Amino acid sequence: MIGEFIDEILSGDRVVFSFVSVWVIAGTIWIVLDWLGNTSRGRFVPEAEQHHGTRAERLEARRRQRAEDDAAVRSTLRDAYGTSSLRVTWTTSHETVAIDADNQLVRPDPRRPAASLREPVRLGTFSESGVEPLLGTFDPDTPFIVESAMPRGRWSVGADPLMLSRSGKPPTAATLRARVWKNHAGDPMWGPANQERMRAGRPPQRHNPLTGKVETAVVDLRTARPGWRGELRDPFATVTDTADTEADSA
Amino acid sequence: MTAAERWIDERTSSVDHDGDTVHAAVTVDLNVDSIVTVRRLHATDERPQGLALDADQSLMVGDVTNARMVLWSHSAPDEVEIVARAGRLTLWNVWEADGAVHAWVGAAGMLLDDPAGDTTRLRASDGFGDRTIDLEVEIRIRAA
Repeated sequence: MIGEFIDEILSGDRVVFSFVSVWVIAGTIWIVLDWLGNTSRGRFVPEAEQHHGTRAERLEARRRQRAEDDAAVRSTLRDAYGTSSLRVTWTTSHETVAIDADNQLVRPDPRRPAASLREPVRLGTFSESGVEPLLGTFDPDTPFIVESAMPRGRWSVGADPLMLSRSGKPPTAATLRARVWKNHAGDPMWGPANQERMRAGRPPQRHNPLTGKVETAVVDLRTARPGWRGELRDPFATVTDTADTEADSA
Repeated sequence: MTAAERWIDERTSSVDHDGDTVHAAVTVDLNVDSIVTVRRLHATDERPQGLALDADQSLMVGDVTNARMVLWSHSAPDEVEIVARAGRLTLWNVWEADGAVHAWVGAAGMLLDDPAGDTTRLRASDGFGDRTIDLEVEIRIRAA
């Protein structure tokens, strides 16, 4: 019987035909499975999340949305496993590129002089009361200086967003932002739609009537506090205008 | 869906919400140099409430001059006079939470009363909870 099968199917020109057919069928199955397995492809977009405007603006909004989604996934992986991907072929250079891309999601405020970024930033000094531990000192020109009080371990929602990894590695800016959004997702101030975004590690949004555009919130990387770009001057401020806190987003 | 979510959804700064027209901000076109008097009638003490002002010309309060200002419930007197050049003046409510200034999220929104003469009244809600009156101010505008 096997002999007949070989004679009939795997002989002459039919060998080539069978070989090609098998690969076409396997390829089709792979494409179908990949399509079904990718939940973000061709998904239904609710009216509230649809972007309006010109074609270029819609494309940019969709690109931004995908980038935020990817950054949120990478951030979660970094928190859990210390790396942005679980692929076997994932290398340090891949990791560097991914972190840079995530950091670029929120660009520096162009009005802020670049020179100020060169000044050492002390992490963890959240309040004037000084009760919070100093977590470390950051200087772009030197390795990160970790204080002994710096919490370490696997981060979970509710923990300090500045927490180091088990090996003592500080969170990237993108990871810090995602942690802050997840931590503040339960705050009713943001509204249901923003809370849903924040639970996924994405920044909340608002409609700015002055510009007519939708803008996203930023995180002050020194204090790990959420805020918005822009500055309002208090003419009755006594000393320093704490309300004018301008978010230092990178 | 909150008014703030509908501002995003409908790309507008005013929506009808629960029977009210809820504004993200109100804009006044000043045809001449004017004096805007802001009188605070009520402000909740749960968190600092503020009235933000943005103008295309500089604003002057006392000896402070700036195009964007905020009058906080905890620092500004009950009545403030602002000297504004002719041009556009926009007002909206802000609040302070967790060390940052917020606006236009959650339950935020402003109700604008019909003007009576040169005076009108703004009732504003911050983003927390349901829409409530967290800040109420009276606005009076007269020529400088």
